[in-house]
Amino acid sequence: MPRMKRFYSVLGWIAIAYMAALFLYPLLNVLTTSLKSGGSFSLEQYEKVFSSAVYMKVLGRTMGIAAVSTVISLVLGYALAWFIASRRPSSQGIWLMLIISPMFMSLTVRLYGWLIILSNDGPVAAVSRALRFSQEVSLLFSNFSVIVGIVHYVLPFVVLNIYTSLKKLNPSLLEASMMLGASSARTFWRVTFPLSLPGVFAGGSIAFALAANTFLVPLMLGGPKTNLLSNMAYDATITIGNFGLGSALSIVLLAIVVIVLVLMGVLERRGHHA
Amino acid sequence: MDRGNDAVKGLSLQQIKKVYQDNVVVESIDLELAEGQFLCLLGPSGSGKTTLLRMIAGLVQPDGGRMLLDGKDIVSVPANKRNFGMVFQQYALFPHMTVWDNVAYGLKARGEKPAVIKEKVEKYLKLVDLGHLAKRKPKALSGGQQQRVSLARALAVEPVLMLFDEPLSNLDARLKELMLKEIRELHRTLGFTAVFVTHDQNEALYLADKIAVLNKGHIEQFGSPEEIIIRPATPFVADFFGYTNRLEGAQLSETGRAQIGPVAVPVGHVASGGKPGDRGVVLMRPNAVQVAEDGVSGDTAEATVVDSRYYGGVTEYRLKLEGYPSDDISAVVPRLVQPLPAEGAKVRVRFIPDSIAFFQE
Repeated sequence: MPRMKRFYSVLGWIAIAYMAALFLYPLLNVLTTSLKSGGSFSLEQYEKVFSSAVYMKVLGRTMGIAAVSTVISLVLGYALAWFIASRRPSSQGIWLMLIISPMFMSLTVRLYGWLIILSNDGPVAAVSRALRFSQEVSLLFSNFSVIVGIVHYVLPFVVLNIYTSLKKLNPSLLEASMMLGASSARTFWRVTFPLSLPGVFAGGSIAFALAANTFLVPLMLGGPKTNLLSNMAYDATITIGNFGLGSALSIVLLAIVVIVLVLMGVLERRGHHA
Repeated sequence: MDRGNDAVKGLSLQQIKKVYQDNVVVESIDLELAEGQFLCLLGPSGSGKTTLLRMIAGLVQPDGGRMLLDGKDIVSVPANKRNFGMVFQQYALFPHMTVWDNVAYGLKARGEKPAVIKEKVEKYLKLVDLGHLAKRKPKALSGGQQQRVSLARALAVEPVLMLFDEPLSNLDARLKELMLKEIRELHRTLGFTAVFVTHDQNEALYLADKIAVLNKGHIEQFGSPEEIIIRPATPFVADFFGYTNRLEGAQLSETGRAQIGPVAVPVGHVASGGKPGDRGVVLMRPNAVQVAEDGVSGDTAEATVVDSRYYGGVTEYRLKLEGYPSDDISAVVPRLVQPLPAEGAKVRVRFIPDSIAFFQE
């Protein structure tokens, strides 16, 4: 047994070293780059970011789109997770595979699909024109198309998290609620939903982090007016060649996402003890 | 269509049936339970007792039969409209609510006024002696306390029928005894009608006015504890209630004895239909076999000691009856015999007819 323990301990340290070399080191590198100007310590890049109306607008848009996408993903994801969790146990695996299967394909390819669906010649536009909702149908390159893309991207993560917490729910709690005279709706809101909140928070946190950091979705489905912070950081670094500014933008994004996730964690724990 | 004579107060099951795939879990069960009575459904696992309880609760839909409460068919009434209380094996307390909110849950679902809720929650928490823990969450309570909360929660809505699904099987022996006493006292005080599922004959004997012994989805015997313990209807029931010595190949004589080879065993209970000359099986409790010290008269037999043990204040023997080829029998002597007889020692045994039953084949 001690040998086994040692084996895993060694394995653990290797994993930590790997993470440190390939994740922590680059991150620290980005941090130091963002804090340097002409070889010495300076907050110049951050001043540039926070004093620029453009960057602030993009930052606001990034947070707004991430928040809206997260909420939509949570609502859709909850419904899907609930649907799967209430199937016969033998078929739940198949449903889960269906939900996860898009993840086996490159996101680029999947976003191409949305590009076709949402384009002016696409089926959504055709239906819309046929129903005479609007003559001028441009769904693409808007906040709408970016949100659609992000929801598509993060939904499987949300479903998996909520499904797991629904499966952990003791079925006799629902029976107890029914036996005490509660309706199905009351049972859901008083028992099922509060007890599935850990999954909602976990899924929501992942969804928000992914949504706020998405680079590919606005690149493919968004236009110049729907650039998000990741795209700005990319432009600053690659197009303009200003590594300091790109690093500062990345660190700001990282800091905001971490703050939001911590706040969500606090909120969850508060709910738990209330 | 209810007939007038159905309108008796209480629960009546008529030909209730449940089939899962091709597996008959409960077959055509008839039961009558008068208002205020305490019924125990007793049986081993797989006997269908829990399924039967869940059908009464409305959590499982029967595949046939009628279920009347005070003369009204309730089969189509959903569980949340039946106004039954249920105590679950795993307590099933809402972990995110305090004890107080757990007990208030059913009252809130019924839309009771806050004053009424407060009054009843306090009343029933006091009844199970947990008023001081009202603000705690269930996980901060011991198993016994949790089960008492669950009891208070079910009682607080003042249900027309209380259902218990093996509520004591997760508790240790001492707590189990306390809870049994508590449930019996609550039943006496509040007078609710109850159906209690258990696999433990002692729980059933302690609590029940009526016991239904279930086996493989049907009722082996339905009656008062006294009837069942003194006059078991089938070998299954007898075995379940501690008639663990089994002697095959017996024949009932004119004198009310069962002749098994050279051994004549006096029989206290002959299952219905048995008459002199019938062949069958004798079942007896270990305490029906007395190890006689010296020249006793009456129905005695020779036996060899296979093993002997002290067992909770009594002495238990494993004995081999002379001239009877089959298994050992056990005998329980209600005192500590000193010294324990050696293996192979010869003893005389005497049979006490009270706990000996004959079942014809």
